[in-house]
Amino acid sequence: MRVFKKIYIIFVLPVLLYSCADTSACREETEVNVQINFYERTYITATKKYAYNALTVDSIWAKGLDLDSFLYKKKLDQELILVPLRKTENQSDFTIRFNNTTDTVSIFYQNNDKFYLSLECGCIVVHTIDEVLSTGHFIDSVAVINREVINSNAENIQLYHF
Amino acid sequence: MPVGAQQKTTPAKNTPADTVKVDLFNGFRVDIDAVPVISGLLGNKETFSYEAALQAYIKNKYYPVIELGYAGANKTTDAEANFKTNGMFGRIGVDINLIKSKKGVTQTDNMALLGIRFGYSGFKYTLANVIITDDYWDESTVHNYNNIRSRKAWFELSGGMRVEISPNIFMGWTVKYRNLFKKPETGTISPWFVPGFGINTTGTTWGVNYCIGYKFNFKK
Repeated sequence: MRVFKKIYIIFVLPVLLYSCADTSACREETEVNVQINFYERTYITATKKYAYNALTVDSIWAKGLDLDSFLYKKKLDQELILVPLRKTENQSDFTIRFNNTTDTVSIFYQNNDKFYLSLECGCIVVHTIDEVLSTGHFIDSVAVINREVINSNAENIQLYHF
Repeated sequence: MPVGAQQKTTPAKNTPADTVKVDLFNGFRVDIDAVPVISGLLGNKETFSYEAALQAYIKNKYYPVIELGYAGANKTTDAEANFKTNGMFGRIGVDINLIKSKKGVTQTDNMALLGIRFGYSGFKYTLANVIITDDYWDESTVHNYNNIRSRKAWFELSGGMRVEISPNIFMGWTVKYRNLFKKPETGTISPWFVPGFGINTTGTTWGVNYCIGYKFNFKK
């Protein structure tokens, strides 16, 4: 009888601790960015095929078109950039300067603004890329390799440079 | 024996000394959960859950149980999103007593219980002021989801004990591991709190009951 009483008294403590648990803070990733990787495209005459190698750009600037705030400002030795898409529009335009050459990249997409994470983190807007266009000063061509843009970083777009 | 008298099981006359005769139906016990009182005293204003249980004694080994209750939540997050719900719930299941009758020894009504439950709740919930902001593009949108209907079913594995602190009055605790049959899907809205289940973030949770009960005996 005494042992039983001790055991059930001990279990009052977990009840109290259980009642005090705080779960108000968001601990999940809520940032949703498009990942753009840079590649160098070289033509191999022996095989008559193109070879693609990751390209490290010495210095890079990136910002939304017509915005003053930079996402990247003279960032050195970059193989990729992460950029956020507009959540209430279906097109986002970015100005990207590779060393001394500037290009404009336009991304067209669909939004899903009801992607629910949790009560603490709320909803995030995820995107499905339709098309990517760019000017051709530094960039030779672009390819979309993963159309779904969610809250985990994965390569979405490849930019090719000769 | 009148209602309210303490039940004792002793070896019956004219039976072999190494056997214990136990009636098929040994009464029932009504439990009230005291956790909401403790939780309220500690300042928990986000959730509440009131419940009672009716548990039958079958051969002092099997204990079928019905649990009914009313629970709800009103939680506002750091980001000012608000979740509200309330509703009834029910559970049905059975416990077994791990304390065995000792041969030739008077048996107490103390119990070490292991059991399973099936739980169900149908309820509505509201998720308000879910704000999506974008600091870079300087955009924000607000979503409100009102009176979303939901039905949740789950199973529970439980363990606990009951101690007879005075004739027919029992106290004890039960710890429960709860598991929703259908887990929340990534990207779809799901209730933060399910009446009778508790806080629902991954589809599994732990629950604790701290019970005070009274046993009604029906012994010839």
